[in-house]
Amino acid sequence: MKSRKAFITIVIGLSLIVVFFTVYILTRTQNDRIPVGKYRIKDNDKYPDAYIEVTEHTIQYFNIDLNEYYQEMQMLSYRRVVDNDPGYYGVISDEQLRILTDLNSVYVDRPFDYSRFEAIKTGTNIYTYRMTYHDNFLGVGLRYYTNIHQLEAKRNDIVLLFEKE
Amino acid sequence: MKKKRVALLMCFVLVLGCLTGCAEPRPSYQGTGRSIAINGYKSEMTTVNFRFYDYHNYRLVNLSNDTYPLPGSLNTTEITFIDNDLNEYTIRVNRPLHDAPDCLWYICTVRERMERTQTCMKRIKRENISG
Repeated sequence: MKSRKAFITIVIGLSLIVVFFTVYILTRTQNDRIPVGKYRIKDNDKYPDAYIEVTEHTIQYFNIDLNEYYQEMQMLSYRRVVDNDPGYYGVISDEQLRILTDLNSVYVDRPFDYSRFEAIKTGTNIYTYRMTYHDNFLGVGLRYYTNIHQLEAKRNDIVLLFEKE
Repeated sequence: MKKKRVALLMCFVLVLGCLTGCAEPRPSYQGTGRSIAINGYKSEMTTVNFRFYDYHNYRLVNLSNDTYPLPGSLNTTEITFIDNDLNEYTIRVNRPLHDAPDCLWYICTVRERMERTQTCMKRIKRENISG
């Protein structure tokens, strides 16, 4: 009888340890850098060869035109910010605005140093990096899903998915 | 037998402590009042217990106790920022930021602004803004 009770206690104990460990794995805070490697685009017919290369401190997009997805929206947003505060920004022409919002020159043509961005935990397995530039407003952010090793380029509702190779 | 159980329980507590002790500490709750503090020098906005409903995307925007990067100066009456979910939001205040505004409106996200700036402006609760 005693040995049976001890057995049940041990089984319950082990089960609890397994539960605690699972919870820990699911909710643990990761190292705040995106794992180094190549992330290939997913479900995109227009740019099937696109990918993101992540190093310890930088990210870089390849074979994709980010302006096609995000530039127009950011030009409109930034025009509103600038026009609302002309004393601070001065007069910015449309051509200057187009140059400022050229996302390819920031993320595609050269590596983007993201070491100053902290990982923001926005879900059980999601870490967000703002990746902004110029006045902390322009740019395309990244979300990293730790459980499925996916990166999501995102700004408002426009999303591009990348999967780790 | 009781001693064994107590010892086992202590072991669980220790294991649990070891597992969760490494987690990053969360900021403590900063009170019941809602507020936004603007740091013009760092171009940042810190919100406390602040949330509003995005009528056009049908979602609650929760900006509790976090810091967001902001563009612009303290002369502006609009605060545009990117939240933690990488969406843009704009709120309009009744006086320039340096003049301690005490009332704000939520203006919807950029896409709606393009077409429906006036109609989609929603007055929300009176809020306290410091900074």
